[in-house]
Amino acid sequence: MQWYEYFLKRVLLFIPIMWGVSIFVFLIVHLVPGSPAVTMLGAQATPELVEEIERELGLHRPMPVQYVEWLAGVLQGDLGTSYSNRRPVASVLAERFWVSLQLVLMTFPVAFVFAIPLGIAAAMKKHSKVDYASMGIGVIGVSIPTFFSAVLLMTVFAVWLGWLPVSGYVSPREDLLESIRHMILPVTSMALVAIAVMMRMMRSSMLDTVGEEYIRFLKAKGMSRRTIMLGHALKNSFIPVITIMGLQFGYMLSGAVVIEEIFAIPGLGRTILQAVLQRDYPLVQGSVLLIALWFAVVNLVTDLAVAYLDPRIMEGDS
Amino acid sequence: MSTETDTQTDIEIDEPGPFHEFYEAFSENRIAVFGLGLLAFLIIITLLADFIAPYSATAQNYDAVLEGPSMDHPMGTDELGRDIFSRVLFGYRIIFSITVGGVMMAFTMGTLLGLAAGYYGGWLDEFLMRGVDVLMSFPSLILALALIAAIGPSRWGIALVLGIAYTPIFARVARSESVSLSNEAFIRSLEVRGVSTPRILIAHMFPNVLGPLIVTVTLQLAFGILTTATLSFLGVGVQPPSPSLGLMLADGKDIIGRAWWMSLFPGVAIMLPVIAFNTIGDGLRDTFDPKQVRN
Amino acid sequence: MARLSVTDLSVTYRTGDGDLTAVDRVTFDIQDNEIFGIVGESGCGKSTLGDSFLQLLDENGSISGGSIVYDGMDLAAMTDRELADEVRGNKISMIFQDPNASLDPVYTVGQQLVETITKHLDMNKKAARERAIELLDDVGIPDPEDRIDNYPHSFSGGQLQRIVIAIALSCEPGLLIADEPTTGLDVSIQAQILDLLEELAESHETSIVMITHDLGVVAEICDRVGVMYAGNMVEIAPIQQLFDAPRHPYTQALLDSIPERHGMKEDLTVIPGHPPDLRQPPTGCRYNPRCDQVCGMECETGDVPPTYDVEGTDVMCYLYDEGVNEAYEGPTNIVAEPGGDD
Repeated sequence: MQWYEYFLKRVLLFIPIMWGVSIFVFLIVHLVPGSPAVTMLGAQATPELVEEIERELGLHRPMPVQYVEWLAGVLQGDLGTSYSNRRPVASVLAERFWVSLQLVLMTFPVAFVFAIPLGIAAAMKKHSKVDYASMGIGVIGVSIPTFFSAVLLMTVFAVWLGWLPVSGYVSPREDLLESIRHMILPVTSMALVAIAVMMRMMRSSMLDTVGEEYIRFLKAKGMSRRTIMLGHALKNSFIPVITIMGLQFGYMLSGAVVIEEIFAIPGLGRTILQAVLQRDYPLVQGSVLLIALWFAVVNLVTDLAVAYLDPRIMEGDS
Repeated sequence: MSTETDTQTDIEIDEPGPFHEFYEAFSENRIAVFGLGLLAFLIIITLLADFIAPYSATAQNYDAVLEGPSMDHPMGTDELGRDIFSRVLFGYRIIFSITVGGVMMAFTMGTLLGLAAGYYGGWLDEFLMRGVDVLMSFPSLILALALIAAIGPSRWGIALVLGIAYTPIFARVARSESVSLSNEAFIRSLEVRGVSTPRILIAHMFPNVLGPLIVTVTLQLAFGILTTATLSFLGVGVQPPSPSLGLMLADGKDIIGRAWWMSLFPGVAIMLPVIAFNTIGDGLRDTFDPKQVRN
Repeated sequence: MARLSVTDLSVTYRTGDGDLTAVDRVTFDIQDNEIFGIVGESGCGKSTLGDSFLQLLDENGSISGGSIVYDGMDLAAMTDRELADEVRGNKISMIFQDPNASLDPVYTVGQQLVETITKHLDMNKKAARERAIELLDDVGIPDPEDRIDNYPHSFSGGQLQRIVIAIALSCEPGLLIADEPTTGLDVSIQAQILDLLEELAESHETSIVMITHDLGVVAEICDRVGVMYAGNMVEIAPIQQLFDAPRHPYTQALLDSIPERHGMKEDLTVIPGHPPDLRQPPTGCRYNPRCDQVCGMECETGDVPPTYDVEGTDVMCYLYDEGVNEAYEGPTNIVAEPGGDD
């Protein structure tokens, strides 16, 4: 199979899934018991207002018709109007998305730089102090709730020591240095989980690989330990880690919900939470759709990276 | 020592039962055994909460507002004078019941769907698994938020949301086991003998896929506790005045400078069962997958 | 001339329940251009013995005594580094049971051949690649110029074992250790691989140690055979002599357990009883609990038997000791005496 064939096959696979996602997102509003309009308005619900909202959402027409019209709008970039902001959902999301992207793009390299060398070191020196320390960090890292580590970091470094701002967001275009200062704590809290997950995977994948027969054969044919570990074991054990890294990259948006809420960062995560709390359904739908798309694109890139490194995938037996 | 007995002993040593073997391998993993001990401890204090807790979870006491840890209040009190220790104990009840309920629901639905998909194959498999793909194209917290947006925040609502969000994971694990299993001779022979399909799925295939599923259950319990606590922390989970570990931390975080105990104890309390489930899950996985243990 | 001399070699594993001596004071030689078979049931120590030559033992195992002399060097005394630079893949190569798992899946077979050649021989990549193509041709891979750039997963198991052999022989080693090289393959392919090994051993003047549980393999290509039981090399004999006149009761039982002696393709069938737990080996001869020819007190309570030379067969059994068995009349002289107690 050629590169472009694999790429095409992989892209085509997303169309039915994204279609399913769109049905699910559409149904969110229609799963609401009773009228979504009443739920949205809460105590302010007057028959006139309910009527108006229902008309705006097109709730009086048959569901398939509603779906097709909604989907047609989505495909043209029309995600409806946010009730809490009184603005088009698409423009709200466009603004917030970059903030979250900045957070994720800053977190990921930090996580990578710590996780991968630690995982390798732990695997190469099994049962050493490095190994036990990294396993300990790993278990705690996957077991500590993000909101707890974020609150602890904020308390120590912002409240007590006063080294860093407690919360808030500054755009890098306004003031790069301040922007980074504001990002240090959120990035650190978010990186903890990713470090733990990626490091554990790196370690166990490396240990699996080192037990393979081809490692013994490499040794038997006189390859140095360095060549075996860095030239062969690392490349092989990195393949499953890439998949996990891709998932983490996607999952970071759910970490962003918590982090953005705690540090008052106006990103996508905070937007979806506010939308849920305020029952701003068009905004919920739009942000969920955007996150699914983000997840899908990250998965696509991950799969392509894996296919690039693992010659077995291209043969089509995946 | 006679020749006869020597040989006899050898046979017994050489061929221990599968459970014995499993027990040996698992008990060698000291971290996992620690996790199991920790879990047992947490289960006991949760079950005995009525006897252990010095106060009710909701009793307010305006004479003891924001008091630090003391003999009367081992973990201090909150801004309404409620005893944090008692609230943690009753909070465990709530978080455990939600998580266990949600994971069991996902386990039941996911396993059945996965077994059926793998066993029947064809369009049913295709349809179910594409549905699974759809649900798995969201991070589970986002999926949970989307569902909560629809059904509203409530205690059993969260369990339902966890159940839906985790079903695909169990379905995938069960399906991959089921595909290989349904080609095995003993399953084919049951079909020939006319055993009904539900019976084959539940009585014969289910017990055989239990091993990998138990690992998944354990790890999802860890994950579920984190998600439940997170949802409560964000204000879309368990609603006040019920004691919720996540919400307690949310209440405490703004006054952490004055009353650190309000945040620290609930935070640590959330971590303990998660650590327990994670270490047990890791141990089980290593035991079921001996490739790693060999080293 | 002896190409490899193994003297009193012991290998010990540290386990949770105490030390386990998997190979116990084994002595034998391998001659130039000889194919020497090592047979035995699983767990008899034959693979451990094979792994010990190049110190490829698992982490908890180590050589606890004796020497392995090749070309004037004692391999047992060398460091990992020295072995990697001077011996492994260069003077002595080793191949394993599962060809599907023996090659790194993310590199082409050419890359894996070239890295071996450039490590040991003074060749640039281009020359090494040409040599690699020749080697693939020699082991019978069709279209080697094209296939050299393919990844391992696009070859069949038999082809992979051919490639593994090509890698192992790429630097003209004097000795090839083959640990069950045909066990993972189809029966029809097994014979082809054995033929290939035999042919290459001759043309490259390489001696082979063939470790196997399959007496059929032994019968097909070996010149001499060593039979292992519970860490001891209980009998060493030229191939025809072993099949015609097995001396050790264990060897006799092994051969008896095969329905038809010649042209056999059967695996060893089970002899009643189990091999002993080597953490607590029985006193006397280790085979005594299963032996049907126990001949005196020495068998059950003495030391491990010494090795007797019986008409060209080396055998570790008290049956051939004049003092123990008066009835025996053949020529008997002790050639090696294992020292000390168990």
